[in-house]
Amino acid sequence: MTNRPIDDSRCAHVSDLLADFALGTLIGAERSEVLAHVSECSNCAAKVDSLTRTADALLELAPNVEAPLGFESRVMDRFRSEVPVTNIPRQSRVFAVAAAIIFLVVVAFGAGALIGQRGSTNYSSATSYPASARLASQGHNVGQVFVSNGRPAWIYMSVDDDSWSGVAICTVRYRDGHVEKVGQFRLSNGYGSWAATLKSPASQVTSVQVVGAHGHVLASAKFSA
Amino acid sequence: MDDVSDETLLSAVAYGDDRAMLNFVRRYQGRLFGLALGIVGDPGLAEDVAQEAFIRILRHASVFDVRRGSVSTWALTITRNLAIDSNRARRAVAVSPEDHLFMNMASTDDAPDDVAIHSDESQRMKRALATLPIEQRRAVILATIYGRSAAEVAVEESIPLGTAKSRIRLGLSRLRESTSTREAL
Repeated sequence: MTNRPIDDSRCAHVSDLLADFALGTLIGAERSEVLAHVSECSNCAAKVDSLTRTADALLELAPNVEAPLGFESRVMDRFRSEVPVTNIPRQSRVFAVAAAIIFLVVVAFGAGALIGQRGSTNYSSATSYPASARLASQGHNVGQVFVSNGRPAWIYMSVDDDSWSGVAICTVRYRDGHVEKVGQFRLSNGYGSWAATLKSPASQVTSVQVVGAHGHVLASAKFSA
Repeated sequence: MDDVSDETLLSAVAYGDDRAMLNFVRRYQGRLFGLALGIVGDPGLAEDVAQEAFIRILRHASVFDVRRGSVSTWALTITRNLAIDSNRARRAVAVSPEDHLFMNMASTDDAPDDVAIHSDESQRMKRALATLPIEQRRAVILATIYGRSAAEVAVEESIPLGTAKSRIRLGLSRLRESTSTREAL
């Protein structure tokens, strides 16, 4: 959009059409006329944007009505049946996502960007966000951690280890050495997934730990510099 | 995941996490079903619409752009568009707005659940809507929620096309001014 001097007569001419335009009900020559004008006039474009947000805000007033019994199950069943993915056993499900992301990282940065040795924590490329790292416990993969540089930055973790249950605490260590407790979550039958926002940029995250109720480290993940 | 933001939850959905998907559906099912029911007026059809909306949201979570609006607006817009399409496909008979749930939108009496769901901004909008003359309120709701064109509003309300256009325009503009003025205070 250019910031041309505003031609008041043209603005006045289209002003009656802006609401219809914002609602998407304007058609034909009138729509073309408004479209051409708002592409050049920042004032009218701002009005259209504001009218659109007003119309959107009305949708937020939609009444909350209890959905029919079993609704969520039917949605999930239908989604699974329509998504072109074979039924993956629970144990492998977390790692299917991880594998896809790791594959993309490998392709993007070369296999050398990933270091994965049994018995040590695995590293990810930190140059691309969202970045992922495998969560390891005593050399075994037990889940996956993602961090992303959104606003705010966030972290997402999946854990799948049948030997755990109960509450676990997640801490994040940043490049400057400070540690942030970002939340706690409950593992049910060894499985849990959760997400939280971070107070510092995800690019500053160097490691993540999952700590048990008694303070012992259950698992950790490291992000490369 | 009950305490995470909509945006964070949707990010987890985009990564394909089953638990996040289920949580997202649980969080939004009442609102999407409520919106669909308000527009199509039939519980069975409303479930079909809401289901389809969720399928699209779960499938396209990765393309959601937070800079273009909130998750709730995105989800509700998808639902509204599907409900409008459904009405058009079955050539739904025009129904008086009084028969729909949405004429209650201007009520300032909220059920406790709705107070929890609706943000301050929504509460402001609700109050602003209540101040509109009833004919403008009806025209705005028909146009914004039910997707009626000005010509369709004119037919349903038995008014000239020019009158329908001005009611929609004036009503929406007054809502915009009312809510933006409060924001600036």
